[in-house]
Amino acid sequence: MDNLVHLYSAINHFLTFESIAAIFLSTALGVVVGALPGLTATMGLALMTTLTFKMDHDVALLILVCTYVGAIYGGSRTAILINIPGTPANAATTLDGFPLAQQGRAGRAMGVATTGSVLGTIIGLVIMALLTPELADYALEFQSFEFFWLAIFGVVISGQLTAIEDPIKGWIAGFFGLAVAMVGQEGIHATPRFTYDFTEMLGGFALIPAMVGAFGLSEVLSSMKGERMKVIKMTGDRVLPSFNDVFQYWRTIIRSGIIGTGIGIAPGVGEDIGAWVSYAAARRASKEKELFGKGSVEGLMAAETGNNAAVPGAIIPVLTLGIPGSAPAAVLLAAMFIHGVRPGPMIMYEFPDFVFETVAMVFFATLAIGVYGITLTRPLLKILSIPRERLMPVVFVLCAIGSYALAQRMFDVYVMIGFGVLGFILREMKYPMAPLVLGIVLGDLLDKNLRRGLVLTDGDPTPFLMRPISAMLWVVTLLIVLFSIEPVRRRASTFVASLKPGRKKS
Amino acid sequence: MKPTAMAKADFVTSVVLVAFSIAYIVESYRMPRLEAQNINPWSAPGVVPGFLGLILFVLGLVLLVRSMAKGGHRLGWTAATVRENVAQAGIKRLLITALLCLVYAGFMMGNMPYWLATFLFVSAFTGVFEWNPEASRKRRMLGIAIAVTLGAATAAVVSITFEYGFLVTLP
Repeated sequence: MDNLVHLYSAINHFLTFESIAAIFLSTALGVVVGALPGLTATMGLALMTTLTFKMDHDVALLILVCTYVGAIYGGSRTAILINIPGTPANAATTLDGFPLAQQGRAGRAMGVATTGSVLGTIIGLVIMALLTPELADYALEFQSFEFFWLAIFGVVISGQLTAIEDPIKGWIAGFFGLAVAMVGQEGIHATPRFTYDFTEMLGGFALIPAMVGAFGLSEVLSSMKGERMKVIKMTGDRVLPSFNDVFQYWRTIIRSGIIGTGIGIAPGVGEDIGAWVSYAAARRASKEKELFGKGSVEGLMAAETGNNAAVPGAIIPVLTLGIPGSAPAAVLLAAMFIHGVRPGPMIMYEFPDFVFETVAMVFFATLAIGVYGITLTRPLLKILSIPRERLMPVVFVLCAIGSYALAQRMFDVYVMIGFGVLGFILREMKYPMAPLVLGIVLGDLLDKNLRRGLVLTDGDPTPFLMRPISAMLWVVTLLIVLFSIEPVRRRASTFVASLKPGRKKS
Repeated sequence: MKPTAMAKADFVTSVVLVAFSIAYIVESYRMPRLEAQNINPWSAPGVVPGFLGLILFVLGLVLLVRSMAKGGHRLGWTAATVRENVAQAGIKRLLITALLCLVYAGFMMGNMPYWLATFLFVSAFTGVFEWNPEASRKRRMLGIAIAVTLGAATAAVVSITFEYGFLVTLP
């Protein structure tokens, strides 16, 4: 009941002209950023953080949450109309969205995408409102041992799921991110590490310039390297979401919403995996499997519900553990620190209203994407036709000045360039960016908690291995690593198959 | 069996990663132990970097062995293959973009008025990539006009927004 009162007052808190204007403008901006190939949600959020750092914390974070929700939704437009996912989260959308558009049903596909995105966000929102206070309460039991394993688990699961075909690259990216986070003055004795007498490096690499580089400059480079976008065609069918789709596919919607939120909660995994897993689950359960990949409304619904449900999902660990569920959520986490909000297990004691304010922010963003799903389709087509040769230099100008503006020092611009070039090279070699970012975010947590834990036990690793939550985390981490090794996986499946009754043991 | 481009790329990355991780471990070992301050040795600054360096070393080694098993060490780079790669249209565009971005953010910003650097960068970027020598003179002039207008508009809007809106002292 208390929670409902908090939620009601949080919604009321944003019912002002200034907030409503911010909601609609920032969601529209998010939709445009998401829709433009080459501009991702993470990049949009990182740039918006640099543009909002002087604002009040609630308005600034409202803008960022709306941009985030809008961008993940906006990417579906491009996926449907030109077969290029506007953001990585919309890759699964292309599988059925584009075939529907080719069949002359682009409007219907966009309506389905809107329905899925709105309902997915609502499911995630409900889970977020219910789960966040409980999880924050549970997280209070975490000590150094658990936080250490949580950081390792986060990097490993993120690496595994964002590089399913080659998990070792995901893990390398994650541990490299942790290694990068060691640069600067460490947090226990204030000893400089890897700074080589450069004063600017004492504070380490700031997350926002690093992310603007890894997601901004590297996108500019990728976009200019690739081929030009094809000309967009639009049919005249209706874009209004249909209630029939909701009734027909309600099971798919609920399943995808829950899967998407669950994937969102897993550290550093994110919306794209939420969409893929929801899509795969929908296909397995569907009565019309043969339509998947050829213009299945159910497939499109699953993908768009899954990716948008992952947005509130990814914010849950940000609030309760200070660990981002996705790359854009990592920017959101950094922005919270910039604005003086300290997310983590103490959030329900230190900032109890903030949790429900965040739920309200996502709620308003959902309303806004519902409105834009109907009204913004045709204006968006005009924006999509801006040539990259004119868009990308402007994007890079914002990357450069945005990185500079936070601390007003050129060093951050150089950090942006360095991470941009590194991010581009790593991407070309199929290393995922999300674990790298997660590693940078979790570095401090890992560093302090491993050393604190070892000091508490005087080097005895027993509590790291035997405390219940720690044990669960390291066992799951170990299983993830073992099962990604092909011979181990093969032997395990043979062993499981041999245990089934009625089968001879070989 | 001919090694794939990815196996070669993995070989190069793994060599870099192994070298990086060894350097990282050595640097971690050389970090101050703060014995004079009588600290608990488990809280020494080099403990966690050393641990991470070790993990990166193992991962790099696995990648190295795997890429060599796929023949990735047979790089087969010659001057001709490098020339062939650089001549690709996509690579050309990439190199020009990287050069323009590096010159703008690495050298021009901070060494000349911000508005001028931004104007020159945006105009040059758009102008270079939209330049079509086969187009008519009128079209080419129009292209230049668009590039200059976009450069001037971006320089003005971004400078004014950051300087007067966000009170940032521009570089």
